[in-house]
Amino acid sequence: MSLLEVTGLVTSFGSHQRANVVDDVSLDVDAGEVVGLVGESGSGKSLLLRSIVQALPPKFVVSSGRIGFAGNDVTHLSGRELRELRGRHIGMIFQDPISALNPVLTIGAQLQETLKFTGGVRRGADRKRRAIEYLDVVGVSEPDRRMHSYPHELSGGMAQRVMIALALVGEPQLLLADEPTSALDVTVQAQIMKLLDDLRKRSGMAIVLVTHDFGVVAQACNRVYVMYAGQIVERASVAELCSNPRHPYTIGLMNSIPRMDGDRHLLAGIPGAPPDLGEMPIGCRFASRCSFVVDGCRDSEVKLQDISAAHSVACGQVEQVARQRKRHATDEEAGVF
Amino acid sequence: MSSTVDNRHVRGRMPGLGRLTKSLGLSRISMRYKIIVGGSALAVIGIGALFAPVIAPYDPIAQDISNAFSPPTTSHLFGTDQFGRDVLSRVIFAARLDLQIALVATVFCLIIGVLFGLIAGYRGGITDQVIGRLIDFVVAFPAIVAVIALIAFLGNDMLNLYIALTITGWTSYARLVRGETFRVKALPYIDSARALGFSHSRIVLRHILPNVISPAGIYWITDMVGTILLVTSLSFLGLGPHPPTPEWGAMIAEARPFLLMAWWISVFPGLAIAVTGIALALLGDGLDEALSPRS
Repeated sequence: MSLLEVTGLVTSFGSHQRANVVDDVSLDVDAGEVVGLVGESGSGKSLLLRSIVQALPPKFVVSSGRIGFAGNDVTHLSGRELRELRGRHIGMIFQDPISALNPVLTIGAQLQETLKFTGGVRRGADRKRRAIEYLDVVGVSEPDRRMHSYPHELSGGMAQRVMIALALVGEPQLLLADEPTSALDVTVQAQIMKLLDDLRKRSGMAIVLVTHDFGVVAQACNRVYVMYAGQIVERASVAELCSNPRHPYTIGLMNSIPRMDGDRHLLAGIPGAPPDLGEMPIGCRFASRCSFVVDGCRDSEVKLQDISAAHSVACGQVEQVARQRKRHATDEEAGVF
Repeated sequence: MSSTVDNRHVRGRMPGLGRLTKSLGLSRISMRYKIIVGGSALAVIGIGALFAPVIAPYDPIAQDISNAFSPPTTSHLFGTDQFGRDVLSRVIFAARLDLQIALVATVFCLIIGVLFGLIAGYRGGITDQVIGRLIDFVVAFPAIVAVIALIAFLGNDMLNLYIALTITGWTSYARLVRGETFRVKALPYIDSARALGFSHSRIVLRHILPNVISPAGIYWITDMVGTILLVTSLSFLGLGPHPPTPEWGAMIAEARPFLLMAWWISVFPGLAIAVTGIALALLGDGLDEALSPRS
């Protein structure tokens, strides 16, 4: 059994004209695994993460589906049990680490508070010692001096390390990382990813990594879910997805990454914008931006279908996409491009 | 401390703040000067009030009819009133009462207003609607009329004065704190506090309160000016401490018939009100500038 098993999750916004921002999503995460969740801004990645810990912004509700965590259904937990779950079992880190820390408390005070109420460390002296230890573990230099710093005195990378330390206090089995490196420099990004990977190896916790950066995914993840307009459109292992992407959206995302090698040409990008949440099309949600679109795409809903043991795609034109990619590849080898 | 707390937009909402010093032509005085002058004037008045029995040269209610209507002399610096009571001693003892009323009433308003504001802002939805309507209801009555009506209804004594002032005065704090709470609760660090499994009361009191309190704290000082003016107006109208208790507004009211022949009886308590008000306004204004990120 997986550590986290999300089945048929629907999260919607508003009470009258319901818009499903996360629509029929299923996702599972095994212990110790790193799962990537990739998609454009507004594709529902963050809301999916927040649904898992039931910490949605006002007016958003999980309207159906099951969120199984270590055998319990999260959607049936009481307020107290949820707080317990958030603090001790599922940790969470955020995109902008400096504003994710309380500006009027020193980082030492915030760590000690978390140690007291989430970590259950009773003695004040122990808390102080443990706080310094945690800062040391996440690689904050001069931890005993840094205890007295306020968040605005820290660099982005340092603040993200503190954020990670806070999340680690409860010794979670699962860490939800919501674009943990998007706000950081490229060099710092790599350090933070390495830190997360080290911590994962040491503690065996699983990580769900939300990002829009395929580079990060390729480096850090075991498996990837690609999300578009609230739905999972492709699911595969990293190796499989990188070598053999099958959904036109995934291919579009990959073509939008600048490459250091090979010929330089204009980045492809994906024309158009995701559909409005209020008026989702009946058929494939990517149809209006897809270059493989045929009339049949718009008529009926497209379900995620297995194309091999470790690869599923939600696309009616999988064969055509595959054929065209093969042609492209031979063209490129022949130097036509 | 509050370098990241943006309370610029609050300034416009604060009745009286800035406007008072501006109308006095003092707006260009530097913030440090305002704090020093306002703070030290207030300290002098406060010490006078605190140690009134030691400092006042005479008993404030001891009559000396043979020495009535004495103009300011070396033995009676502020002169004597129609009963021969020393005006200086009465002004000093009145400071005690007026400052005490202003302080206690505004502290009650602060506590209740901040509490309601936090609850309304954090819970939102129907709770916010109910508290919002309650605020609208209270604000719909002019403060002085509402206080007079409440005192008339409850009876004229100190406790009822505090109750009336609190009922009418908490709303501004609630509005300030509600707005700030709305803003702060949407900030990422409240999300991360939730993600760490903290309870609602912990999030509100430890993580939201310290980030929303400073505008309310600054308004509190300005509010004391308003409360002193309100209380002295009330006792001028006869709704306050009973004579012969010295109180600035009541002193002015009692001296009204003698204004032309014995100006000192009403002018000195009037000056005391003005000086206290200006000192508080300067201090509040200076602190507001010192704590707002523009400076």
